[in-house]
Amino acid sequence: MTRAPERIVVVGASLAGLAAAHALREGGFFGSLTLVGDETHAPYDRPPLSKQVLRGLYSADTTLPRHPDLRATFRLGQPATRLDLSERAVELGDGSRLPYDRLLIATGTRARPWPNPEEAALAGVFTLRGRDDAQRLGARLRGRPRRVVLVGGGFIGFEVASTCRDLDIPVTLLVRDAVPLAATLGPRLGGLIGEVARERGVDLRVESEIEQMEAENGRLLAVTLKDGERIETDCLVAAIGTLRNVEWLDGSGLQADAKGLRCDAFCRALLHDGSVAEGVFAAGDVARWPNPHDDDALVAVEHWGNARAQAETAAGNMLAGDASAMRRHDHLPDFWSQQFGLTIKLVGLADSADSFAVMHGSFEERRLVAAFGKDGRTVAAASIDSARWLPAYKAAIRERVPFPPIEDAVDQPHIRVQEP
Amino acid sequence: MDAAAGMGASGRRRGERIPSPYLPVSAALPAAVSHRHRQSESLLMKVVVDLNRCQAYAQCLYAAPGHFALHGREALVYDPSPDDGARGEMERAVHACPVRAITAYPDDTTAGEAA
Ligand SMILES: Cc1cc2nc3c(=O)[nH]c(=O)nc-3n(C[C@H](O)[C@H](O)[C@H](O)COP(=O)(O)OP(=O)(O)OC[C@H]3O[C@@H](n4cnc5c(N)ncnc54)[C@H](O)[C@@H]3O)c2cc1C
Ligand code: SF4
Repeated sequence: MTRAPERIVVVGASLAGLAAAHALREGGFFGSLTLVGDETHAPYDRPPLSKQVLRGLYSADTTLPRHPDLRATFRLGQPATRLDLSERAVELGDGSRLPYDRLLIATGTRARPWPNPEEAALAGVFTLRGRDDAQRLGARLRGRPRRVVLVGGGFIGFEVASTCRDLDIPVTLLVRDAVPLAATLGPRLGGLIGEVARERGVDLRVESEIEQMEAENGRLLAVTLKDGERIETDCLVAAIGTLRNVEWLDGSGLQADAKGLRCDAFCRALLHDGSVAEGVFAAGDVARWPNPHDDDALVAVEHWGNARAQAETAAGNMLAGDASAMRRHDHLPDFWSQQFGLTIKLVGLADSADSFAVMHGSFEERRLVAAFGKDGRTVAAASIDSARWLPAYKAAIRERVPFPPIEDAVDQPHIRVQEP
Repeated sequence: MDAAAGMGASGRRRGERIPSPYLPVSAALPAAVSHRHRQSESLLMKVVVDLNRCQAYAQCLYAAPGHFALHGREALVYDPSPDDGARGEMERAVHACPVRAITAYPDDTTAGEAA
């Protein structure tokens, strides 16, 4: 049995870091608790940034609620620069060292920058990950750009496109794949969302990429697409994915690379030789672990719900003392997105599904629940404006019941199994 | 353990202004620490809704109409930083939500902070 920890350090003061801090106190940890964050902001919530904050609804201050008795020390505006596993200490940008008995790594991801640095530096070119990004982009949108060009066919791109349409700003959305959002939702649902976006006035271009940007005095003027078309724009948002914040772990001995920080099923960080790094745990967007809901494939789940749930598993395991008392992180991945007035939700992982069936509602109504199957088993369910049905499917997915699931409780005359 | 329930309304004691799921910790704290927080006149509250859990039951809209709204059939938008005057309404919203998706605490971002 290892000694109970007296000092816990959390690196990354955001959703996962704060959730872990709460869970540690709730789990009875009375010792010193320090959260290190390179942003100057106290932990805040990101999902509203691409939605209501950008649109200017309510307050732009999405600081996450903190329990009044959290008793944590926050070292904000201060990056962790090095991890010394043998000394059990984290080094900060100002040269100070924080010794720990347990360490949680929750450094998340950052927006993938536009690959051409000269173009990325132009006035009018944006990315969106943090509060400061949202403030800059929000200010630009209030200045009413002539046209916003969005690059990237993921959820953030679609949410920003939706917000621009709410503000009555012309939008061109460039998606590299043939169908948007297909990686997460499959081509049928992705296609449906694309259709809705077009109806709401988004100029959606699939299989479309930027060849180059045009500028005058350092300001964006236009983009030229690979097919030669030129589009005039004074505002471009690159929503082309994320990069994991693992550089500070270089040389530490931990298995961390562009795919994330490798963990075991108990949120323990692993060394290069595959053994457990004593006392070091990870949670949230930065972590990659064998996921029981994906046949133990090594995945990172870059969603809000996982960041919180994994932080809680990690916190519990940090206090467990003995490995036999640790809990596996078996949170079923879940996700929501709001765009064009629709709420899209997903539970489970649909990316490797081979079959699909509408269980409630229909494409025509734009209101439905669909189930995803893989090798005859139920692996995921998605809802569009029908979230109340989803909890029932959660259990079916956890148990991997035969596909299609819950056939006797649907509103379809007959269930048609199709490709996703 | 369930994140949203843990941070939501569970474990509330009568007469307590803000739901406090961490009662064992609070109870064990030196009186002065808790006292300081109760005295602090914070102007804002901080609110977050677990939208994985939210099923658009709209109870929060009735409890705190100026701070929650539905845009479309299910898309809940809310004020993450309402002022202190909203505290009563916010508390009602926290308790009204049938799936306990709402967490609200008084804003205390300076507490225990050392940059
Ligand atoms: C615009 C936007 C909209 C989103 N919408 C949704 C949604 O609708 N639904 C959903 O499920 N998910 C959504 N997400 C994803 C969700 O916000 C993330 O999954 C979540 O923020 C992950 O939390 P995290 O704490 O693991 O990482 P992060 O939130 O990325 O936090 C990591 C923190 O660590 C800091 N850090 C990095 N390196 C260091 C270092 N060396 N030293 C100190 N600090 C460091 C970072 O600056 C950051 O503050 C959205 C994300 C964005 C950006
Ligand atoms: S009461 Fe709860 S479930 Fe209903 S809309 Fe509000 S947050 Fe969502």
